[in-house]
Amino acid sequence: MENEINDIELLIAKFLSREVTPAETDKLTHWIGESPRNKQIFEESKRIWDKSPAYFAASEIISDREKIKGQIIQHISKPLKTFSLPSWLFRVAAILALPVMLGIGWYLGSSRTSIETQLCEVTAPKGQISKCVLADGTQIWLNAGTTIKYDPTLNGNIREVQLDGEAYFKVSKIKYKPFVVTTEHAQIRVLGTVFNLKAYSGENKVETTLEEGSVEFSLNGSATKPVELKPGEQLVYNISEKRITLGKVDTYLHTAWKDGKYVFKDADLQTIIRELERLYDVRIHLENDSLLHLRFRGMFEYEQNIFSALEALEQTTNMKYRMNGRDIWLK
Amino acid sequence: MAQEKDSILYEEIKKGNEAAFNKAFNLYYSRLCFFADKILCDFDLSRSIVQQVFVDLWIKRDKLLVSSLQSYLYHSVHNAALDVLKHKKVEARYLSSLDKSEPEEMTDLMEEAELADRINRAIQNLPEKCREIFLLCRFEELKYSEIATRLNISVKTVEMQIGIAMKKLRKELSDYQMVQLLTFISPKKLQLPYRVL
Repeated sequence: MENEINDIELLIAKFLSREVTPAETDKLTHWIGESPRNKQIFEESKRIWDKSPAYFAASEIISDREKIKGQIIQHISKPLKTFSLPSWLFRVAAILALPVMLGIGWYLGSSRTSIETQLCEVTAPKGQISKCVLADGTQIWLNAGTTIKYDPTLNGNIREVQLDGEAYFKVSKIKYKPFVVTTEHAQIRVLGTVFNLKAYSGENKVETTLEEGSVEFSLNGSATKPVELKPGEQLVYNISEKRITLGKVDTYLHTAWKDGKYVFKDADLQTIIRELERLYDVRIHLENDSLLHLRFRGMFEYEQNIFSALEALEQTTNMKYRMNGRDIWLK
Repeated sequence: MAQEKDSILYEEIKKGNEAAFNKAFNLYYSRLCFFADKILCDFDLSRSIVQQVFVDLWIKRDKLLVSSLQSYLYHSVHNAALDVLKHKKVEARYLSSLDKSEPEEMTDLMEEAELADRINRAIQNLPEKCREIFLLCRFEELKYSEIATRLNISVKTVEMQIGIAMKKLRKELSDYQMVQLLTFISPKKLQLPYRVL
């Protein structure tokens, strides 16, 4: 009996997949005619066969779910308000700011009457990279979680920009008007040049990386002679130890972020965590300190979501992550 | 029963419960993809519009007034799919047929999508080897002998596995087919997305 059912199962399957011989078709037809129950079994099978959709694998469904979570996170990190620029400001300030990935906030300091004290503030919130162009044509890319302030008229003897965070500068050359970037601890003075400056408040170092031209680095409130950098050099100032180191680096590693690429070469986990926290506006908690000894090389892209970054980490180590809202735990 | 669960799920999503969101996703996502695919005949596109509907559900969750989550999801996907068609300007025939009998048309598509989803889930539940052989046979339309060569197994094994697959699928879907029978008997003019389940 059991055997007979199995033969019929095989026959039905062969019929549906067009593998039957004419003799087998006759046998099946005969069996179907034997009882309404047999007919029903056959029709149910045929219906399943005909109505099977193109297969949608469970793994793909899960990856789609993680993908939309990435989208949700990116969406949440977009600022709710973007301020439009009043047209008079164009005339007064004559500045142009291009939000590359949204996220520009305008701030006008003090009163409207004294133009020279009006400062313009541009912020790339966490999870966003922005770009702005000053009136002199200088281009500034802002990494996630960065704010700059400047006088939009660029009046005065120098062009000054205050920075908290990381920015990549392509400074237009104006001989008689040096360009100065000030951070909490240091000052960089340039003429026309291309360089990256990383000085997040709350971090223990200030990193200046020079691609082209020349810059002079000096500490705030210090009378010592400024340090001059040559192209391809990087100056790192360790704030707590008050120590300066100068060396040759692969500048690409430090500037690729402006094109949305975060490249690491022999980086420790703490460095990677800080970048990910800023880039995706999340908080990452380490549950296992031994992970801190791991060194990484690789790349994350701004276009990707946090999950692909975390999965890349999982694949290269035996680290595991779990997530709740914007908090992520690694162990 | 199903209706009640649906509303609990929605209340939890409104509160920001991510587990409830996952549950709703697992419950409705593939079904909605099949549904959108019935309209668009483009599965990748269908996936992306359904994903957007879920993103919106989460982002706008506290602003939405939804009486039934399932109804909301189906209608959102339906609208999004029709928008896509409008953009493509190939909708003329489909839309004109839709204008006349939209409710039925949509309910029919929903039922078809639901059946497709049931079958898909049943296929997912097949033992791995069995599933692989079944998929090669059903969707790659390979002959038993070709599958045997490709997987380096005997034709007899292929035959057995396809037989087993069909039997398992029928078993898993048998209770559903009973329900189908019931809905067929009961009057069809039910309010749109509510189904007797």
